[in-house]
Formats: sequence, C-alpha cells, structure tokens
Amino acid sequence: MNDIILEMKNLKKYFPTKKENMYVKAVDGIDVSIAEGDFFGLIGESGSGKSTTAYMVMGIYEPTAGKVLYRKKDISIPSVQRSLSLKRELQIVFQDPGTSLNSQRTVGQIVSLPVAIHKRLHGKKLKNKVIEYLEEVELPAEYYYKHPNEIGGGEKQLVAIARALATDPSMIILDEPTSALDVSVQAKIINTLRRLQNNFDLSYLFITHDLSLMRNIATRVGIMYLGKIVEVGPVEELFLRPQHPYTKMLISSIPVVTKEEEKLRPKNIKSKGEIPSPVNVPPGCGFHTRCSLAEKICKEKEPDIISISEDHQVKCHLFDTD
Amino acid sequence: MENLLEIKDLHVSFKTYDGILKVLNGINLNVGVGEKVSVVGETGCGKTTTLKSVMRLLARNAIVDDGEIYFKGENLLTISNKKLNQVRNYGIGMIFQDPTAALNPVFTLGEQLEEILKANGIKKNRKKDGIDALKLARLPDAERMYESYPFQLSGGMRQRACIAMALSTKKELLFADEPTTNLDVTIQDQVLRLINKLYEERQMSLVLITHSLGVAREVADRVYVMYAGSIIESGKTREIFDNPKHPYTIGLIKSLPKLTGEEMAKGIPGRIPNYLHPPAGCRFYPRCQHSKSICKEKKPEMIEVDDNHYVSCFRYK
Amino acid sequence: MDNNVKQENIDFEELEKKQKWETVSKLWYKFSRNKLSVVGLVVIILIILAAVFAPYIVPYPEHGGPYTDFMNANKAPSSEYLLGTDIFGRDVLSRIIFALRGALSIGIVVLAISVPIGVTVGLIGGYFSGTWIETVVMRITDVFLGIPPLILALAIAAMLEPNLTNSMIAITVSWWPWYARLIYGMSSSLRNEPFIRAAELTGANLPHILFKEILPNCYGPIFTKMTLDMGWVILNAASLSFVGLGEQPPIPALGNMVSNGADYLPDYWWMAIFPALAIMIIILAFNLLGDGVRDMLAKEEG
Repeated sequence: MNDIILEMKNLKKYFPTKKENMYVKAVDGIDVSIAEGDFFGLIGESGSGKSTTAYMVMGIYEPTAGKVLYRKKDISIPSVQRSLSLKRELQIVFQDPGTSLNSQRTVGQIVSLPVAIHKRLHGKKLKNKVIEYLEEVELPAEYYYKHPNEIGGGEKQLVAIARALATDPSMIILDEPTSALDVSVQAKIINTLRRLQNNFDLSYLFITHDLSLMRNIATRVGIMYLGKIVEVGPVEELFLRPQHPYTKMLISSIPVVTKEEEKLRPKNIKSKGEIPSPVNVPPGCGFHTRCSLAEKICKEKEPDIISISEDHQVKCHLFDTD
Repeated sequence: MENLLEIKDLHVSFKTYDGILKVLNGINLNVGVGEKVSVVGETGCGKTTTLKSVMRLLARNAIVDDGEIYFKGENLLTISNKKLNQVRNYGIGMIFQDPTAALNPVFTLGEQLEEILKANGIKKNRKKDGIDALKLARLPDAERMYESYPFQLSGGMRQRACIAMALSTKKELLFADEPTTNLDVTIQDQVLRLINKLYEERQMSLVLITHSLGVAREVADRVYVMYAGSIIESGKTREIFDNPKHPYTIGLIKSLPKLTGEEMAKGIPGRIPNYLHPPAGCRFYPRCQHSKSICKEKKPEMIEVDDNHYVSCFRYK
Repeated sequence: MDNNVKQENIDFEELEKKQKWETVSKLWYKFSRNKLSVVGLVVIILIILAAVFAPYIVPYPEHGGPYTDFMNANKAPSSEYLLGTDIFGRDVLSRIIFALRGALSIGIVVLAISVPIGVTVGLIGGYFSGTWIETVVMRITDVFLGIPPLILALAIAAMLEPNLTNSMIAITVSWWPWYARLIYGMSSSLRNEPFIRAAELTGANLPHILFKEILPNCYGPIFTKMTLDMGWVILNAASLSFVGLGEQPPIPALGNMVSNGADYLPDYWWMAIFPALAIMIIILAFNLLGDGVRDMLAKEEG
C-alpha cells in the first residue's frame, strides 16, 4: 500500500458574485486521496468544478475552506507563497497548449526555464539537458529553435509535458490535456504519459470529461457534479458496476463505436435536463433535478458519503442504510 | 433515386506566402433525399474546406482547380450569384460549431427566428411557427425562450435554438459543422437524439461534419472518412465500424479509448502531410504500415469492396 | 515526429543560424509587402546618413555655424544655393542638413530614456493589477500624463537655461507615461494567460516574468509606437525651438529656422518653407516606416 501523496479535505471554493450572499459554489466540499503511483481521474462536465479543484491544488486559487495536503503538509496557500521545492515537485499541464506556451519564446527557451531554475545549469549543459527532455517526449531535437506556432497541437502539448517533466516532479496535474486534440494525436500523448509515469515514478491527477479515456488509463476515478464528488472508486469497479445515477447517465451518453461497448452502457438511464447554475445549487442532492429516481428526501437533505466497498464510495440516498 | 447533392472530383487549393497548398485532392460525395451522411476526419483533413466549397464561402486565396458540385442538378460552382443566394436561403442551411457566434447577441431568439422565417417567404403566423420550432427542439418553456436573449441560455440550449432555426425553414439539406463539439457529453447525447428524432419526421438531408467517430456512428446512415484532402473510405455506418478496410480508418478506431477497457492503440505514427508538397500517390502512404511500392506513385481509385462500401487503397482489388 | 536521428548528427550552430535567418526574412517579407513602408525606410536611411556625414556632404560646411556673408544674403533658390540663403547669407540646404543632427539626436535620446522607464513602469503596474502597487504606480503615471511638454520645457528653461539638453529632459519627462499606459494595458491582460501562470508555477522570478515572458509579447506596439514617436518627438522639439527653447543659435534647428524665416514671409518664402517641408518629410517618413513596423511585428493567427 503506497503512501498518500495528495489529499483534499472538505475542500471548497466559492466565488463571490455581485449580489450579496450569492456565491458561485464551484467546489463545495470534496475529499480526495491520491496514493503514490496512482493515476487518478477526476471526471466531470462543465460546471462540475474539476478545473477549479486542480487550480486550488496548484495554488492558483486559494481555498475558501478545507485543506490541500501534499505528503501530509498543508499546502493550501497561493503559489507565490510556496517554496521552490514544492513548485519543483508539483507541476501542471494545462488544457490549451496554444495559450500555455509563450508564442514569443522558442521550445528550447520554454523547456530551459525549469531546468535553469531547479537544476541551476547553463550553457551547453543546459542545452543538452533540455534536449534529453525533448527526446523523452519523442520530439526531435531540432525543435529546440522552433516557436510554438510552427508546430502542431499535439506537439505543443508534448512541449508542455516536457516542461512539466523538466523539474523532475513527483506529481503532475493534467487539466484536460488532450481534449482539444484529435484522436490519433491523443493516443500518442497518452502513450507518452504512461511511459513517463513508469520511467519517472510519477503520480497523476488527470482532469477530464472523457470517461472512455479514464477507463483505459486511470487506476481510480472520481465523478464530480456541481462541486461535489458523487462517486469514487477503482476504475474497473466504477465502470462495470456504476452506482450513482449521474455516473450511469454519463456512461450511457458516451457515443461509442463498438457493439461490445454498447452492451456496457446502462440501458434504463437516458440523459435529461441541464446542469443547474452553481450560483443556484438545488437544495438537498444537487442532482435531483435530473434524476429519474429522485425521492422526497433527495430534495431536502444532502446525501452522506456511503461506502459500497473498501475503496468505492457513493453520495446518494439510494444507498442509505436505514 | 437521384442524389440531392453530388460533389464530383473536387480539387481545391490555396495560395499562400510559402506556396500553393493543394488541399482537396478529388472529393466525391453524394447525399440522397432524406439521408443523413457524416464526413469524419481529423484536424486539417479538409472537411471544413469541402463544406465551404459547397456554400461558396471559401477564402479569397482559394482556387477551385477542378470538379463540380451539383445541388438538385445545378452546378453550384458556376451558377449566378442570384441563384446561389436562392440556394442559400431555401436550399441549404447550416449549423455551426459555436452557437454563440451564430446567434446575434442583441436580438431575442424570437426576433432572429422571425427574420429567418421572413426571409423564407413566410408571411403570417411567424410567431407561432417560431415557438413551434423551439418546442420541436425540446427547449423547455418555449414561450419564454422566444423572448430570451442568447446570453441567458446555456451552450446546449443555444445549439438547440440554432437547430430549431435551421429546421424551421424547411430547407432540403442541412450542413452541421461539429455541432456538438463544444457541448457536455450528456447534453451532446440529448442534442444528437433530437437531431435523429427530427430527421425521422422530415424529408431533410443532413451532412454532419465531425472529428468524433462516435458522434458519426450515432447519427449517420452513411459515413465518409476523410484524410488529407481525400475520401479514403465510405459506406453504411454499420459496415464502416464493424468492418473497416482502410489502414487509416482501422488505426483511428483502434486509437479510440473504449468503454470495455481494451488496450488503446498508440496512435498512428507520423503527421498529416504538408499540403505544399503532398505525396504524389496515396496521401496516407508515408504513415501506412501496409504500403507497397505502387502506393508511392499512384493515387488509388475508390473501389467497391462490399455492398456500397468503398475504399481508396491498393490493398484491395 | 518519429525522428530517431541522434543529436550528434545535428549541427546546432547551423540550425540556430538557419532559424534566425528564416525569422529575419519572414520579418522583411511582412515589412516590405507595403511598398510605402520601404519608401519610408529608404528616406529615413538617407536622413540618417545625411546627418552623420553632414560635414562631408553639405555644399557649404561653414554655414552650419556662426558664418555671415551679407553679400549673399536673402538669395532665392539657385544653382549656387539650392534652397536659397537666409538673412545672414547662410545656405539653407546646408543648415537643414546640419539641423537634422539635432533633430535625430533629440528623438533618439528622448526615446532611449523614456521608453525603458515607461515600459518598466507599465509592466509592473499591469502585472500587479488589482493590488496597491498598481494603484500607486499608475496614479503617478497619470500625474505625469497631465504635463504638456511645451509648458514643462518653458518651466525648465526658466529655471535653468534654454538649450538642447534641457529640452530633451523636458520632452523625456512628459513622454514616458504614454509607454507606461500602453504597456500597462497589455501587461494586465497578459498577466492571466496560462503561459504566465506556467512560468510562475515553475518558480520564475519577477524580472524574468516581466521582461522575458510578458515584454516579448508587447514588441509590436512598442516598436511601432517608437517609430511613429520619432516623428512626434522631432515635431515637439521643433515646436520648442520655434519658441526659442532648444538648440540655440547659431546652431541650426528646424524649428527656429522656421520661426526666423516666418518673419520674412511671403517675400523670402524659402527661409521658412524649406525647413517646414523638411519637418513634414521626416514625420511622414517615420509614419510610413511605422506602418511597416506594425505589419512586420503583427502576430500571426494559428
């Protein structure tokens, strides 16, 4: 049983609105535990709060309440206040490589920055190290002098990955890194990420809306809806035996491409309704407005987190023990 | 059954600073009356260029080198502007990827619907027709939606409003360019089901352009797979997915993550060709694991390998 | 992407040179697409060369100083004196060329000082937007924005003496806030871009973020404005010398040539008109050049 590397305890982020006492409850009390070597998939649609969660872990946002713990240390502080060694250990790859790479700098300059800061190399040694990282992500060394706008979307994302890798981190947060990419390019990037995880002993927190992708690569997944985690567990368990109605709705909505996959989709649950605004979270269980199994209690009381098995939890009244 | 739309051997290139980009390399595509067809391809394959060619919305540096586009028997590339406008108003409609860009933010949905209906020659009862269209698009509380502004709606609702507008005109052919790419998967599912249901009730034809194989499979009767400016495989949807023939199609399907959790392929090696100097023969040749020497020199013809299942590949006779 | 060539086979110096050459030729291509920009560039180069080599190329080198020849005063343009002579008998053409020196040096000095100051202030103000640092920095900038160069120059002249250096100081002090404003806007919007976040999260320090990450994204507006400003600064300097501040006689300055010559309009029109035309041509040339610089540095889409 590996050590826990990242934990979130009752983490909340509320954004104020112009009206008094009205907040955008982007993240509304989540608990997550990620062990070393895990590939944790945080799945949610828009408005679920998954990106906000990632940003709190990185210190881009400060939590409104709750804590983020890295290797048992409380890191719920903005990134400007964080130590250089924490910045080295915890890195992020953003969703859109078009904006996460400075178009005015070359690939070489972009990847050199972390190496220069954390490894204190310069000159030829620096250049050689940077080329090592480019080769790790299977980019040709000639790309050193290229600008981001001269290379394709998938390759840009590989540069972003090389940049994250170049600090020798322990954990990388990946915020929908392949959502904007074509399928064949995504496959390449995912393959690279898996290889890197093996070679460098990394832990991943992977934020996405793509369930099929998580089915293939994650070890554990958490499903987010309206700022809360409604189900969490090992990936195979969650897909073969989804419990929460939202999880089932998600799986049934995936446009699959093979007959075998079709058989796996829950038959009796079809997507309906829209996600409510996080400013106006419905009382009780946030999902009740779209749930065909909603009962009276769902509209009044927020469900507790119930353990189905040792590492599989659901937040739903259907599983109340009384 | 005569085809509503026929694209024949379309070649389109673009003049740029670096040279001439030879993008479309002989596109052949048909859509019958009441048929739903999908053009599937990754970024840069030329699917949007094909669409723009039909609507004659290509950029100024575009050149149509060859080919014809027949809509109800008339070649859209050569008809007069006046006739083209008629086609755009009454014949062919479009749904874009970004509904926010397609809707005018300073007018209510109702005002925009009425304008479209007016342009289509509908003189009376426009409001009722408009509200009916919104109801048809499964928009909740259609009367209130009618008086709402686009910014008051979510992305999914806006896209459904655009679909309502496109369908309310009773055009014969609809082009939908990545209509669900920006939507959540649960909303996408609802929108796709809506499209399917509405098409059941009408004699309209649909060309759905997408990079998502899954979306194509949900909606289309027939699929065209595009790569680097060529159609490399086409056929009935079921055939294409159960029995893909072209190495690119096979590679693409294999690279998709599956719900079953089976091994995901590592992608397709290489990159799309440079349109400045595209390969002389088959454009997929540089990336193909099964290539032969002839693939380098000649472009393969589209051959029927099965009932209505065509491939452009020298592996098949 | 599947390139397995070992790095020993790649000559990095060659590669670097090749990339730099490609960058430069692409910049030139974008600049030269507008023929007028090239015209502007040529004119500026000629002006600079004329100013640098003035003593060697002007027809009457001594006329740039305290020279008098009343026999040849007030002569209309002729083959001997191409643009005529002034009231002291000095060749107008020669004096204009000499005056270019002062004009260009004011432009260069003012920009060399005000641009770094203004840009730095703007970068800081924009990066710290939303904090007290921004408020302090930008309100100071606002105060300086309100100072008109002419009035300030008069004040300085009253306190010190009217000369070239002091008019440079006056213009510089009133010039930097415009760059601060320009860069502030860009910096505060770029500040939230993911690539800046990425640099912060990597651990980059403030000078790196300001000057190596944000600043390169501002080169277009900065250099375009600098080019156009050369014309404006020269015009401002001419205005100062018109009212007797700036370069003092007998050193020629375009502005005081115009003001002195204006007394003799319309009879000896060449004394005022030619220096005024010179000012116009300089400004026009810098404007055309500025269009080219803007095209050259405009960001590409996709």
